[in-house]
Parts: sequence; structure tokens; C-alpha cells
Amino acid sequence: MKPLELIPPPDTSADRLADRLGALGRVRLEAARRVRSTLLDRQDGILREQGITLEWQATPEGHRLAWRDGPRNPVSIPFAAPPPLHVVQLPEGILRRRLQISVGHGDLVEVASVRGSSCRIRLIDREEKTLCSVSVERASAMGPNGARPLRLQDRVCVIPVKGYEGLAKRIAAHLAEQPGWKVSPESHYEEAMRRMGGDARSRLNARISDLLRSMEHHRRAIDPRGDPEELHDFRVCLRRVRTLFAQIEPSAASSAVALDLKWLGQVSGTARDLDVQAEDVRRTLRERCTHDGPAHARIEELIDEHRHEAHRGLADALASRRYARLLHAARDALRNEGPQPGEPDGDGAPARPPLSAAKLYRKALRQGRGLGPRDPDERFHRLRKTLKKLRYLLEAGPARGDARRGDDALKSLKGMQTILGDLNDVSVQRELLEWLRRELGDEAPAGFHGCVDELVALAEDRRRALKTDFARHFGNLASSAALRGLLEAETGSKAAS
Amino acid sequence: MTIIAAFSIKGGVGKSTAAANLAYLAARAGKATLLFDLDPQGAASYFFRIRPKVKGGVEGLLGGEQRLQKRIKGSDFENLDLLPADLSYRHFDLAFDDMKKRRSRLRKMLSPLGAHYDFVFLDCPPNLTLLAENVFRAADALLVPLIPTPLSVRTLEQLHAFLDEDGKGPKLLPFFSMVDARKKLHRQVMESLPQSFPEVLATRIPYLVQAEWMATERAPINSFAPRSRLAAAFEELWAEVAARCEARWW
Repeated sequence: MKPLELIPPPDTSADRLADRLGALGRVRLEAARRVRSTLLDRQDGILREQGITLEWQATPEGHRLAWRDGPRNPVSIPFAAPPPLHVVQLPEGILRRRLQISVGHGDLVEVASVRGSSCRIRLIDREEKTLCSVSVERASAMGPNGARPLRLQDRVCVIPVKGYEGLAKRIAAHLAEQPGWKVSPESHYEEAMRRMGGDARSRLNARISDLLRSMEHHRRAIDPRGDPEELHDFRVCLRRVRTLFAQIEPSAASSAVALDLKWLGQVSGTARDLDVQAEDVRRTLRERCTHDGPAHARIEELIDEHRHEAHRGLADALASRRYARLLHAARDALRNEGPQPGEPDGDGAPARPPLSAAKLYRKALRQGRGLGPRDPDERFHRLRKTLKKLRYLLEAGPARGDARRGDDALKSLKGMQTILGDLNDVSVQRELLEWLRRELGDEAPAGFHGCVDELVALAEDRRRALKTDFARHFGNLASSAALRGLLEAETGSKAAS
Repeated sequence: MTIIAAFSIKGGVGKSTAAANLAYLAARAGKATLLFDLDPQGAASYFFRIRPKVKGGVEGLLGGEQRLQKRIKGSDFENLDLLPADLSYRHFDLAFDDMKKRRSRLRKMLSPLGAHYDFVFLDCPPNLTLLAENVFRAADALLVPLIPTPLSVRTLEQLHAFLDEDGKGPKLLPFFSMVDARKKLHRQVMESLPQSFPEVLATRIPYLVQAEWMATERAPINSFAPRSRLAAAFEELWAEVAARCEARWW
């Protein structure tokens, strides 16, 4: 049961509220404490995971952007006023680079925070057990334009304790009956996001636009001789864009964009797979392979050739008119907002239902249950794709409910994806090795086939180990209370059960 | 969901103290945790200031997930809920005896909670009855507190023999509890026992007065005396148990 939030009359003090609640039972007023929470765009909570809190500070000397990154020293950098609207819009320069180094990620996230003070009143029984907590919260949102804090409405939160929910309802009903009190339809967080970030559809559009920008940023850095992570980051942005695009209403334009995004995924996937394989095979040959001699060099050479060919294909695709048209059409589709997700479009065509997190979760459970070491890799891959969609959808969704629980839920999904990703890599590697064997045939140098056989055997061992590991991870995912909680918060129902 | 039962055939060895503190530490580590006080004495419930009373008694717990859920109480600590004790739990054996698959009723009862909790700790009464057999079928691991004395060691041998006979038992995680290192007997037992029972955990819980303060403070040691030696010992014990859970090292 969620906290019940009420808007009290102006200047409601905790003392007065405690007096009022005293009529309902024994109360204890606890000392006021500072609360501070940072709300992030749920890209993947990188900042939060690393314990980094960004702060815009307005001082008489000017504006500063400050953060504390874990054990390292606090960083505080002067910044010319007015501060940028979003952290993601920080201009290129030393500030942006230092922040990126702290965050350890090239793609910065939008930050908004709500901070304020609260004091808690506990309703207790004779054993001094808390039966319900009531807190008075005063907050302001320190958003992307945090130098000018946004004053939020005061709230009284009635926080139920499991097993005593009836009392919380009685207290909320009692307070709501008092003159000047009303039930709040939204939380502080929701109010902050609404007032700072516009409605849900605008936020979705803004998110997709940001992702398209990041995608373009990474595209420019893709180079087969450079950092392979650029291509990976490009593909992550692409996958996120595809998932979020599925939330937009259907139209001829958005359907064409969805098809083009799929095409781009396929083209870039081959190059990325070969990046991974080139690195992995090279490492395995160096560290674990007992065969030696010219076979190593030949295998590496063949994979590199293949990889460069895939990168040439990718470069052609990225330079093609189809790609330029895709970006253009995607931005157009975002500008023409049209009907809301799930509603029919203007031509009366049946609406494509938006992706439902709860449905994806159920699908994943169906796909994953009973999967064992003997099942084909294709079934694991299908599950991987479903889980990716689910994770990106949850990450982009409104951060409702308990933030810690949300993080735990996403962690369990990430853990599962790591296993399935490794399994996919091993599967691709096997196919690649078979291709190598066919490609050279009798022209192979001495020891080549023995070396490939050994690599295949090592890949097979890894595959077996990963599939065995899978059952445990999947069990954790299927029983993750945090994930179910997040899904329930997202769907507002027990749809996840 | 991992189910860990604090179990010993012998009474007064620190089962409730261990269950309450480990449940608290699991919750503090961010795991959704339930402590199920199966002991009619209700010590674990008392530690958390929850009245040892369950609506409908044993029968109230056996009517499906929803009825079970309604009887769970939130504690004053985040992530930690408690299913309180009730005097009627002394009739658990009778209730199970009338049912089909009477040895796995507890497991069936707890399995739906997997959707809500990462850890369930069972604080068991000291005996070897049908309820105990249910605990063995339900739990992934049995935490067995051992006072380093011959009598306590004997109960571990009995438990071992019983589980070997049953063949479907959980993993045993014995650990030394209420250790007084000044006593020669304690030192001798702690030195010799791991040779015959290598599964004995490395952590030793000392015999300190803070354990008794739990009953006056009515809270886990780590919440009211976090810097005490006893709190440190329980942290160490939890780290050891959590590592085994993580690795499913049963």
C-alpha cells in the first residue's frame, strides 16, 4: 500500500498535527530530519549507482556546479549564469569532460532533485511498536534549472505499516475531513516532474530526442580501429530508441521509422558481434589455446578481414540516404504528436498497443521457465530480446514507487542480460568458427583445424557453464519482489502477478 | 527466495537471537526479509515489539497466500516484516498430521511468499517433531547455534544422523554461539569439532551481556549497539551466510 498523501492547510506545524493525531492514539513526535532525494531520468541510474549527487549552487560569487564522486574529493566548478536547462545540454568543454570522467559514461543524464525537511509522527501501541507514521514534508525541486528552486506544495504523508493498513486509512480519512485539508492526487516527485518536465508524452519525446542525439554522437566516433565501445553505445541508444518508439501511436510515418530502426539494428549487430568475437578469440588464443604457430595468426587475420568487411557495410549504411531519412523521419514523428499511446490514429486505423511492461514480464517468464542446458540457443536469444525491451521500458518509465527497489529490480534484469549476452556471444563464436573451418578447408595452415577444434571445445564448455548458471539467475529474476513491485508501480495494478 | 531456519534440538542456545539479528542485517542490506516466529514462546516477536498473536492461530496460517499475507506485520525497520508467534503454534504438529503430504506443508505454505521476499528466516522451537521435519523440507539451510559444550555437540550429531536418515534435508550451517573463550572446555570443543564437522562456520558469537539487552531494548543488537563486539560478530556471521547464499553453496 502506497503512502496516502494529503495537502494540509497552510502553515500546518508538526506539533499541531501531533496534537490532532493524539485523539486517535498514542503518538510520538520525532526530531525534524533533513530529507534529500535526487531524482534522475531513469536512463540507468548511473549517477545514483555511483553515489554521485549533482548540485547547482547559486552563490553571491556566481553559479557553481558541484558534485561529490565517492571517495574522491568534492568537485565544484564555477559556471557562467544562467545555468543550462539540462545537464545533458552542457556545452562541450572542461566542465562536461570532468563530469563525464566522474560519471564514467559519455552519455549524461538529466537531473532533477527534490529536497526539503520533514518531521515524523509515529503512532505507537502499548509496546511502543509503530503502527503508522505521519510525516509533514516541505520540499522544493532543484531541477535542471536548480539555481531557482521551485517551491512545492507542503504535504502530509500517512505511511502505512504492513499489517496495520486500516489505521492509516482511518487517519487519512480523519484528516481529509478536517476543514482546509484535501487528498493529494500526486506525490512531491510527480509534482516536480510535472512542473519541470511537462507531461508524460513530452517527456517521452524529449527522451527519444536525447537518445537520437546520443546515437548521432556515438555514430560519429565509430571506427573499426578506434574504441569498439562507441559502436556498443550506439547500439544501446538504438535499442532504447526502438523500445520507446513502440510507445508512440502508430502511423504510416512511425511504422516506417520502426522498420528502418530494425534494419539499422541488424546492420550494426553484425559489426558489433565481430568486434566482440575478434577480441574474445584473440584473448582465448593467447591465454588458453595450447596449439601454437601460424594457425593463430591466420585465424586472427581471417576474423579481422571479416570484421572490417562488416564495418565497411555499416559505414555504408550510416552514410546512406536511408539512414539520413530515418533520422529525419524519427524527428518528424516526434514533432507530430498525434493521438496518445493506444488511441486510434487520425485515419481510424486500429492502434498498435503500446508495449506493456507487465506483458513483457509475463512473456519473459513464459520464455524462460523450463529452459535448460539442452534447449537451443535461439530460445535463450528470444528471452534476451524480451528482457532488453522490458528493461529499457522500465528505465524510461516514470520513476514511481521506491527508488531503491527500482534499482534492485533493474539490477536483477541487468544480471540476467549479462548471462544471456555472454551466451549469445558464445553462440555467435561457434558459428564464426564453423565458418572459418569451411572458408579455409584444405588450404588451412598446419595446426589450423586443431586450433579451431580447441576453440570450439572451449566455447562449448563456456556455453554449458552459462546455461547451468542461467537457471539460478532466472530463479532470482522470477522471484524478484523488487521487480514485481516496480511493475506494479508502473502499471498501477497487480498486472505483474 | 532463500529460507534459512535457526534450528537446534537443544533450547537456550541463541536461536531467536541469531534469527532476529540476521533477519535485521539482511533487511539492512536491502533484502526484502520476513522473520517467521514459529516458537510459541514468541521471543523473536518480542524483540520486535510485536504482540505474539495471530488471528485464527495455526488454522489462520493454513488457508492460502492471502490469509497468510494478512497476518504478516511490518516491523519498525525498513524491509523487515514479521509473522508473529502464537501460543497455538504448539498445535502445528497436530494440524500438519491431519493433512496430506504432511512433511512438506510448511514449504507449500511459504512458497507463494517468494514473490515478495528475498529471505525468510524461521525461528524454530527446540524439538524434533513433525514441525521440525517440515522445517527441514522447507529450508534451504539450517543455522545451528552451538554452545561449545559436549551436550550441544551431541545434539548436532543427533541432527546430522536424523537428516542423513531422512535424506532430503537442507544444508547445515552450524556456528559457535555464546562462546566464552576464557573456558578451557569451550576452546577445546571449538578446536576439535571442525575436524569432524568441517561445515562449521568460522564466525563465533561471543557470550556478552548485549544479547540480554535485546530483551530490554526490544530491538536487534546492531540497531541499538552497533559498535559492540556482539554486533560485529553478527555482521561477520551474516557476511558468511550471505556469501554462501549468493553462491548457493549448499
